[in-house]
Amino acid sequence: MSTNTKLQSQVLGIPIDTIRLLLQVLIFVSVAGAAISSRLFSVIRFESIIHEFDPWFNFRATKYLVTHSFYDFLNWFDDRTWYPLGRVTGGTLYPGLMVTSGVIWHVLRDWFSLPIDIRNICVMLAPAFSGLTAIATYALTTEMKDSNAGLLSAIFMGIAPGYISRSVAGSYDNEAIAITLLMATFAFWIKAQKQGSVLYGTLTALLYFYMVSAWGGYVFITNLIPLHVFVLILMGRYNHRLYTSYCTWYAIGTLASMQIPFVGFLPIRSNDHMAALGVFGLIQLVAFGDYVKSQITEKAFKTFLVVSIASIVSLGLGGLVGLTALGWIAPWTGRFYSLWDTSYAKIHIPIIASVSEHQPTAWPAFFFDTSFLIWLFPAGIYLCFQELKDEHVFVIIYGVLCSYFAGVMVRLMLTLTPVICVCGGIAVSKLFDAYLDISDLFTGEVVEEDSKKKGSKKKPASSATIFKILSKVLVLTSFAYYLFYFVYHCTWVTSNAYSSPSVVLPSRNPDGSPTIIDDYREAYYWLRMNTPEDAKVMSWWDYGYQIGGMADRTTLVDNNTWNNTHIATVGKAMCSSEEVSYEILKKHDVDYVLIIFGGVIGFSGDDLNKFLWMIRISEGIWPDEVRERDFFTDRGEYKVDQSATETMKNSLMYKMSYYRFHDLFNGRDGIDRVRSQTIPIANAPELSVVEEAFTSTNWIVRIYKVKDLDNLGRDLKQVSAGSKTKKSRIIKKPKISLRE
Amino acid sequence: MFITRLVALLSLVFLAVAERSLVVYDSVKIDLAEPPIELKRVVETFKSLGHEILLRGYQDSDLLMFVSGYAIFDNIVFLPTSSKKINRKEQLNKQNLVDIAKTANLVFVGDSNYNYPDVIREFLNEAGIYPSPKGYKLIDHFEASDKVKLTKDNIGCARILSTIDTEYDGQSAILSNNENLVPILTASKTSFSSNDNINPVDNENSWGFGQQSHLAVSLQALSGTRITWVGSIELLKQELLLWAIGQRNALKLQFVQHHKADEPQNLDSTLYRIKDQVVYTIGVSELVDGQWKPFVVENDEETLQLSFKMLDPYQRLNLQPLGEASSVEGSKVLDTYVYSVNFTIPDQHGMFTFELDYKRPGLTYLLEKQVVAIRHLANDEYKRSWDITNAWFYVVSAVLVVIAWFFFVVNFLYVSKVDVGKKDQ
Repeated sequence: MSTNTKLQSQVLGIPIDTIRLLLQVLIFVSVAGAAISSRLFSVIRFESIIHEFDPWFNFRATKYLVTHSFYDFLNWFDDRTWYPLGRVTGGTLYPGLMVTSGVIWHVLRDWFSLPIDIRNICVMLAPAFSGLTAIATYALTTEMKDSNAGLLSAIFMGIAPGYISRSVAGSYDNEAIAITLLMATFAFWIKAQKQGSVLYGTLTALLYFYMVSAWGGYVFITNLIPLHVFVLILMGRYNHRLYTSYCTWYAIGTLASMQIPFVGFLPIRSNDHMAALGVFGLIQLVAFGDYVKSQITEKAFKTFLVVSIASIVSLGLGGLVGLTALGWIAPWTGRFYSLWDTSYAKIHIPIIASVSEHQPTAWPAFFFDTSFLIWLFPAGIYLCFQELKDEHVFVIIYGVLCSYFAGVMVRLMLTLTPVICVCGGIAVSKLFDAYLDISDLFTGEVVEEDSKKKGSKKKPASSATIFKILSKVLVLTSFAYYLFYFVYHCTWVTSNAYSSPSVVLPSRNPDGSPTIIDDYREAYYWLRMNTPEDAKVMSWWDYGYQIGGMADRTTLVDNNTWNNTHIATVGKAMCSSEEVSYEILKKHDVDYVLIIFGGVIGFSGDDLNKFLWMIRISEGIWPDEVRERDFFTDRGEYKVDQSATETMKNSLMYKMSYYRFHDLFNGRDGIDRVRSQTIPIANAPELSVVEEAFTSTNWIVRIYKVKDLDNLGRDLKQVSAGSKTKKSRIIKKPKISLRE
Repeated sequence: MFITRLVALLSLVFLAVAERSLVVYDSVKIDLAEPPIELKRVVETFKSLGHEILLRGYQDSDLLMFVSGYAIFDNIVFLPTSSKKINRKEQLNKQNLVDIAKTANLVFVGDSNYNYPDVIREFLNEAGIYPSPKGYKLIDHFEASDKVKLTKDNIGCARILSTIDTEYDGQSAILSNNENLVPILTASKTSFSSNDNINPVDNENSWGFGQQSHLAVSLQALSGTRITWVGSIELLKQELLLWAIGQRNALKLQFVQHHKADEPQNLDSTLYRIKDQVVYTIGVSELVDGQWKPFVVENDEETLQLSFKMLDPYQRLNLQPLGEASSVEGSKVLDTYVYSVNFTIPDQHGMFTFELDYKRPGLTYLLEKQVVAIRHLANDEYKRSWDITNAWFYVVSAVLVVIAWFFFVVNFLYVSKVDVGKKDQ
């Protein structure tokens, strides 16, 4: 790779720079090709389908955008979710993703007359943007070292599983384009602060705006760039370039970000954004101090400095605390607190803790997601320390901060991966610079090649040459092996761990042949085809987006967990007895209840396993009516078998899960394959307020219809009990309460 | 399947032609050649209404009332029977009666000397009516005779029974707390029900005490049908029978519509905006002598009320009477009374329900729900900054900053540069 010699300026009569450019383009094309193709496993294995949960909402919103106008989309009031509260969807989403695919769809259709299904655009968007991410990473790393490191980090970024996990085909999520924008914004920021250019500062701000429109994680940029500037100021590296680039970025970027309805006035009111505002103020003061310094004597300046710093710090802190106390500045959000105290969410906000991607990361995940880059990462940081120019400070801060965040929350692995790739690229390229430079081997024979390093080189003895060659070969082969292994590992992880759409589940037949479990879609299409269009479906919030997207039915709660009380209400309906639940169901006009039950085929992500979260969340709102303790046995175990508590057995969720379960075992005790517990026939539940409407092939999805009020005004328990009691010949005076 | 459809079709045809009514009687004791006066009276009432009427005995083998999930009669009267025996149990059973009650009015007549067939007693118990067993009679020692005199004070619902003046000899029933039950005749305070006229009354030989006993009661089912029980056939006068078979005091919503106050052409929109002015209009008719007539609210207790609710009512408004109107366009028959209310939608977006829930004793229920979405203000529906006086200060300062900045730049680039240049020189 290192062929940079002025003498070899011509190869086969073509200027070396042309060849270099040609090679670079070729490398880019293959990097993009590798990045895109490795993300297509899911499409090839399964089909062109939207994955998981959140992407279904994005897909639905995109469909709304392309079937309505942008204005309608902006002011979209969604009456099919969060019934009956509704959701001001247009004002509570990040529209960047949908607008991007909408624009692509319109361009292809109107300009190129290619009527591509919007679904395919949505499915392919993430892979397409991953190619761009590789290029942006190249640009960023090039600023750090040189284009060699850039190319290496580009290919690392292209196939690193940590990033692929959120950007396989079908994973139509905000992160799909946000990581691209993150890297591009950083690349432009480094360029801007290096050159002190207003143009690059503006470009940074525009990309930042795009980022704000696409992902809530933009706050990361909002804090990282000011932190970079702050550290540089502390290091005494303030200069006019820094001032120009930061002020340009902050002013334009902030004004632009406020145009997103969901962000609105947050940049001047929320604590998450205060750092940027503070540094903006600070840099003005520093600029002023710089000016003062140039005008007065050093001694006078020192006094000036001490007095002004003391007053500013006390004023600033007092102001921040005061304004927060007055409620002018929004306090930190719960998600923010959980970043610092990992047990915060568990205690105070169960709804955040209940999301699996908010759990702390297990250490093997780091290796799993980045392979050998994880140990090159410190090396890269070390190399940055060695040079420690302004831009290296940025990478160091980025690296340190994100290592911490990624350790706290699994999903933030995603923001760590780029910096790992950058550092890995720097480290490997440094290594290759040293070991792949074979020019000095030939210095003995080919003198003219030894152009750059003539001062340092002596004529080597032949034995030293052998050792040199040996060491080079050793290091290079081992790294060739590592690189090869990296590609192998990435492909393996991508194909095995990150390519499942989780809407359809891969499985194996008893004879070992592969098959897929398609219960979700089976059930959602049943809903779509067999229920009235305005039917309200209650389910735990995990399935809200999918029901909205695939079944097109109104839901009570969904993955946009904006209203904790409403979610707690659903939780209460699931964990209470039938009579209590029925009141909630009727109050919310629920027509169908959908639950996930894995006990038959052993699908562990089912509702009974999430049940404790429902209980905890509703206990947070109704501590008198729902108590987590009541669902545990005396020995504190979470049981569904014969030792299950009465509260457990009476809960609607338990009843709906095991209703007719024993039919599968010919009326004998049944075995729950997820919890490996025996469900005695005595526990066989009877339902009176709901009736079974649909159960999918493998029993994963069960849908129950809520019964109407009884025509004669009886309560439904009496109705179902009345149809079973035996007649008594003797007429007895009834025991009834006094008539009101 | 085919038969189901055929029967459904047939019953529809019958509905269109005439209502069908069935009277089930005691074929052991009663000879149809010489029917007792009460049976005659019931049959006459049905005939005068133009109903197609059938008489069947409890033990008849051709007793047919429920075919393939459909009731084939609109009204069924069960007269007292001396024998509890029923031959066709697959026709007459509790579950069938529950299903029949969805579309047919049922009238049960008791007699203190007879027991009910088990299915009928069980059905009545399900409905919350517990008639006293065989041999129990309503007794009142404050009365001179064996019989109990019924006066106007005994009437539980004046809408159903305007007047009563009779000596009662029959059963009584105690009622459950079912809120759909409408007491028609209540026993007097001093009466009680017992099968023993001599010994002291205790819990064993008594049934109901005082006003706990009811002599006639009806259950207004949610589907609009009525299930009526009377303790003695002498109570089943024409007035009561007509009510029991839904020939009067039945309500009907002829139309329900809502629209924005300033867009009357855009009817029944499913989307409104917060703070919109909305008009909600209904037309209500009442069945009088087999004809739909305007239903006029007479006092405050009967006022029709609209709830505009999302989980809880945000607005609860009395509907104002507008006047009589015709439910059919172009018709001159004034058959409905129009009520309306004009109100402002609250400042809260969400899925709201226009709910009209009208339940009054003696009338069939009106329950009407329409869900509409109330959206928030769109981004261009707010006041512009120049319309807000408070904002002028900020607008002016922004403009001033821009101007000042412009002059500063001009000064910096051109004016002061000359000085710098001079200094340098």
